[in-house]
Amino acid sequence: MAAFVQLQWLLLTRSPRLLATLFVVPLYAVVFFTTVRSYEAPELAGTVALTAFSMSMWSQAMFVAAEVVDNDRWDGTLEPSLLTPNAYVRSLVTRVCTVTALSVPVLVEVIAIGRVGFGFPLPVHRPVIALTATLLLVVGTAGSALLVSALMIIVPVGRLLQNALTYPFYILGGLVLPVTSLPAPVEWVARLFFLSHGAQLLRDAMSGADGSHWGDFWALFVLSAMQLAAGVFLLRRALSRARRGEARLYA
Amino acid sequence: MSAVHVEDLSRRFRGRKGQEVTALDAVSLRVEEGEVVGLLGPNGAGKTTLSRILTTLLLPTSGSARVEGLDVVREATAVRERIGLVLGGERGLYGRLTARQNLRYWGAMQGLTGSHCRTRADELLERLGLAARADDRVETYSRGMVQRVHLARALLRNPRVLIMDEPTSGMDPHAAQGFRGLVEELRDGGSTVLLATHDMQEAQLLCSRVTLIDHGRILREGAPKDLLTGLDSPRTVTAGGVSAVVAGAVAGIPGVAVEGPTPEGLVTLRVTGDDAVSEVLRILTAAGVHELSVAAPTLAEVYRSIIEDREFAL
Repeated sequence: MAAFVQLQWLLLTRSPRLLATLFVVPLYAVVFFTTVRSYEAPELAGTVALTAFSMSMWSQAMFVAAEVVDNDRWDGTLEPSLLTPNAYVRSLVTRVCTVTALSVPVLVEVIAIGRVGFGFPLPVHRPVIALTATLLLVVGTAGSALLVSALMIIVPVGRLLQNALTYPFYILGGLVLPVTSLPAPVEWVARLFFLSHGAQLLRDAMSGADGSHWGDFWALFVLSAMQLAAGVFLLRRALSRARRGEARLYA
Repeated sequence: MSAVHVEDLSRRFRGRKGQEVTALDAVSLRVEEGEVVGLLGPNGAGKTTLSRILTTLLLPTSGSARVEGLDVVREATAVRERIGLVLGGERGLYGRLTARQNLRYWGAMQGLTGSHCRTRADELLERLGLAARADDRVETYSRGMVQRVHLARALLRNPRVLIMDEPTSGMDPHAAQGFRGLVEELRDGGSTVLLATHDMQEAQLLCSRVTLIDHGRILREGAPKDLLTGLDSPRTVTAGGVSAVVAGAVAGIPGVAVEGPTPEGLVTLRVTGDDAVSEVLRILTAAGVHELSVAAPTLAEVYRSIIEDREFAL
């Protein structure tokens, strides 16, 4: 596994544009915090910080992690990789998780900017909950990226899907507004999406909200695991289709 | 047991307009252990399709293919452990990584672990003459060096059978010659190689047998010398310092076609038949011609006589 992490790390660090999220989101955070301060609504600073982090994690997964397979196709490395299909799936899961996890420092960046640059306290009252929720969010988001990467092999216009996978999911994931603010039928759908439980747990961790969090934890755990399993399943299907000659091995 | 045994293998694709395209049509082929067999044919002949089926990257539509006695469909995992694929072209490696990093990654993919993986990668870098630049990015390598890394990757698990798909495509003559030297070493070491190539000289130099394939069908197979023996193709005689009178004399021999002489006295003769060659040489030497060369027909002539020119035919 270390070899797979190392490969992805080297590919990312030798193509810095793939790490753009780490540099762009802090700029967004400055804009958001400026707005919060000008409206004199410091109570929203925590929500803004979490929104910036969650959106950056999701977009990092959709636009960078999901392209791992397609990049392999461009590099011509997909074909030799399929000589070891099981190892390749393990490699892809590891690499996609690595790319997705690289958005985690954004949370630290955004909190630091809010505290140092704007004077918002932005406390994390329950760091264990925040950390665990973040790890599970990485798993679920990586699973989503695997799903998209498989679609990019199977569907010729898969790349067009990427753009459609941002704002609807920011809404469904409760990243912009808590899902309780959504109309009832939409809220039910959002409850089936791991991101909504992760976002809620992160909000609770920052605000120090009392009460049991086990419901959200279990939901996040199960839905993230299901998302990852679905991603791996579809990826295996996509690679099998390639072997049947129904998907292109070269870009 | 043959190292590679293909029987009635067919592969059909669905084309973009929904029509059926036959890439391989009932192909049968055997490669014995330790042999280097060339697979010759134009683009689209079916060489790459066959290579991909043998390496388990593509499923056949019908027929069977076995590598070391193992079925490439039902026993794909075991086949993959015994086979190495050498691709041609610039792509197929992570260009932003060094050769050493590439080999360590591909070694991990092939199940090599820890120090064994590192040692094996280092051994191959040394053996293939890449050690001095092993820590440079592959994207800075020449075409020949990239091809050595391709070969090193294929050899990581020391496979008994190597499938090479146009490995010297795009290489300069020196690099191609160096690569052929490596294949010769592998052949001498007992490896079995199926070499898909456009390069007739390469096939003639390396292969104990060649198979000519076009439109997904095998058209001819055999040892290069046997194919040449059965070919009624002219030898090329080139001579300098030939007068018009002497050129006229040789032109009168049955089976001789003359080009020239040029103002410098150079003639090129296409001579069919052993008797005609002897007579031409006798007349030329009797006339005091000293600059003389005779070239036997090559595999390229065999190829041209069997495979139609569909790209440049007028």
